[in-house]
Amino acid sequence: MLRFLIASIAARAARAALKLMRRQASYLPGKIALTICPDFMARCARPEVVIAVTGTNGKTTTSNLIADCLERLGKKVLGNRYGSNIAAGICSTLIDGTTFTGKLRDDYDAAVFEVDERSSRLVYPYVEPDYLLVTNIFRDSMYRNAHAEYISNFISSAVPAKTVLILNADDLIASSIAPGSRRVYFGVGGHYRTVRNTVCDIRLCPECGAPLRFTELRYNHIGRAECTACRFRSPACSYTGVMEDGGLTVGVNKYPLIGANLQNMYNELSAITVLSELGFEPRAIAEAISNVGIIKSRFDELETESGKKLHCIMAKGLNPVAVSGVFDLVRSTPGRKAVLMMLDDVYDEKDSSENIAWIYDTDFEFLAHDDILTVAAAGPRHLDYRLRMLIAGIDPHRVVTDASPAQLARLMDLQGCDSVFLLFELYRKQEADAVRDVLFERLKATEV
Amino acid sequence: MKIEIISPELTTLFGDTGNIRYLMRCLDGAGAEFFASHPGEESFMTGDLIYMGPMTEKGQERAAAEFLQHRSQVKTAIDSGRVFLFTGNALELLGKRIIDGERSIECLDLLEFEAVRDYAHRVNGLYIGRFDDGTGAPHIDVTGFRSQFSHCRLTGEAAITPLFETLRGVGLCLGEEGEGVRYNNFMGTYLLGPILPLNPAFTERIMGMLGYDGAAAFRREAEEAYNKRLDEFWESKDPKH
Repeated sequence: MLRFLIASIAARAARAALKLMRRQASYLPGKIALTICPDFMARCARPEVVIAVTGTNGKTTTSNLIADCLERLGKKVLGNRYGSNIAAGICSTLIDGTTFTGKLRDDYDAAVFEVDERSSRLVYPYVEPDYLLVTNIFRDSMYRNAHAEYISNFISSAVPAKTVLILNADDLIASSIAPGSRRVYFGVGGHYRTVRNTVCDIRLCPECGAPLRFTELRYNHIGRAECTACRFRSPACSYTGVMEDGGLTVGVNKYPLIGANLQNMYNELSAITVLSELGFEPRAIAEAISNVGIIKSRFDELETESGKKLHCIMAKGLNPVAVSGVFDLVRSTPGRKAVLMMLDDVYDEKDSSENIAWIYDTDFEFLAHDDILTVAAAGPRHLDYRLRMLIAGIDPHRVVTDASPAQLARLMDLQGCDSVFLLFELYRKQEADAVRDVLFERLKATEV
Repeated sequence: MKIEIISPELTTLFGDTGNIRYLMRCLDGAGAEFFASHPGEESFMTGDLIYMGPMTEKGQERAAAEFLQHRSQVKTAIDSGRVFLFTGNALELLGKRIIDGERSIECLDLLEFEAVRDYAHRVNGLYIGRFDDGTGAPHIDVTGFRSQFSHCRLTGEAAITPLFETLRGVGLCLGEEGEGVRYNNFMGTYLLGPILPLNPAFTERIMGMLGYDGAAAFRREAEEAYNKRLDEFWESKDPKH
């Protein structure tokens, strides 16, 4: 107990100092607390229900959606919505939500934590979530996450016995996590266009090693599959969502659809599954969802007077699946388009040289399309992107790259475009905003 | 010319399918045939270039078990001078074994080394090495990335001929000079990148071994990217992440 109190005081002193200095570093109080008292989080009081959300893609969107809906359902929610998703960040959130003796500061009904996959072993044994939602498991940064199989095993090794898993049945890797734990599956029903990607992180049966046959392949390895040799197959769903009449139907219940693309549909469906398992009525959930939206900073759209559009989309660098998904969106959008991407890792730029292997897992081939008039890449790795685009078969006359995004925004050809896509990495938002403004002015100028 | 890709459904990690993608561009017009093979199939070990890329640890164990049943076929192909390029942890299949905690996974035992997995310490970093093919041709400085749970250690008296002389970064074995393995025309390297599009001159040297003297695809663009990276690698503060 003494160690906990010392940790608590030290962490709060750090929090006060950060506030005085007007510094962010949201994880720092938690880091201090965990250094002094490694089981600090286990010693904090917890709300009645703790929900953890993890996975490769969609965890921020989904955890925020769950937290927002819970609040609209009248619940008081503790969460790391504005903070870090690593162990220290979650600990900082608990510090903010508790007194220095570890009691809850407010009458929180629930906690919703977005948890980085690599933090599983540092969080779950101490926080012991009642529900753990795994959105999906794909390959991500090779330096941190190695590969999908490693991350799946890593998460599995950390799941507490009491935790109920909420799993994506259409993802054979995510759905196989912690096979001994209680689980509820969600999945998307109906038929959708198949997107054949370079990356498919599971092609062989995890039971017998025979090839898998996808009876319904949506994108990457997402879909329904069965083994060609043994009885292994995608699990059956308790919650099946279907896009119908502009909304999302789950069983007999209808919900507003926040985002019309498949990835957002999975995010929303997973949130509905969690809220349903918590006991909320479908009508109440639908009402809550109708009042929330996707975080504006991740997806924004500007429109000129004549209807030309500038789409600003946050696309995770080092993540071939996320970026390929955006490339698919670009090629599927009607009309003639231009794309400017700024996806480089700014931190690697300072002291090192970014590992660009991931761009060879990314489907640049999707941009070799007659109605994509210009494909531009800006940043320190622009020469690598240029080579990759040429290998992908994009017309060399349509490829333009430069180290400076601002320069490229000023110079790239937008004539004849009905829409422009600006794709930016998470940590380049500020820079992207400036680029967005230049592009939008230039797009408007093409109307004259 | 036949380019054989072993077990492509297993060996898809870390962007290394980009090696084949680039090679297809390089050999476009050269009449090259690209085909997939698996141990036990008639086409196994018949390519002029035999390529295998990095795998998950479970995939590697599966591959090791399959390769063991066809050890003599693999040995004959290497001894006869066929050109091999094994990238990432594929090269570990030629060693004695892979050690994973208490487990030992038997491998081909064609070279005197073993691989040791350490999940607690992933080795990440940049690498610069020198390739000298021993023909008197000018050497080539090669760049790539390391990202792996395993490293090798020598098991016997016989020396392993490295593929690259290390100029900066981690070699085949921790603390040892030299990266990768050269055994006849078998070339194995832990380097990711993918190594071929990142190193157009090296790609040309490999194509030359296959009897094709054409330039690497998009030569100018590939070389500009290579030169920039080489400078960055030399200037980077720490090659290990």
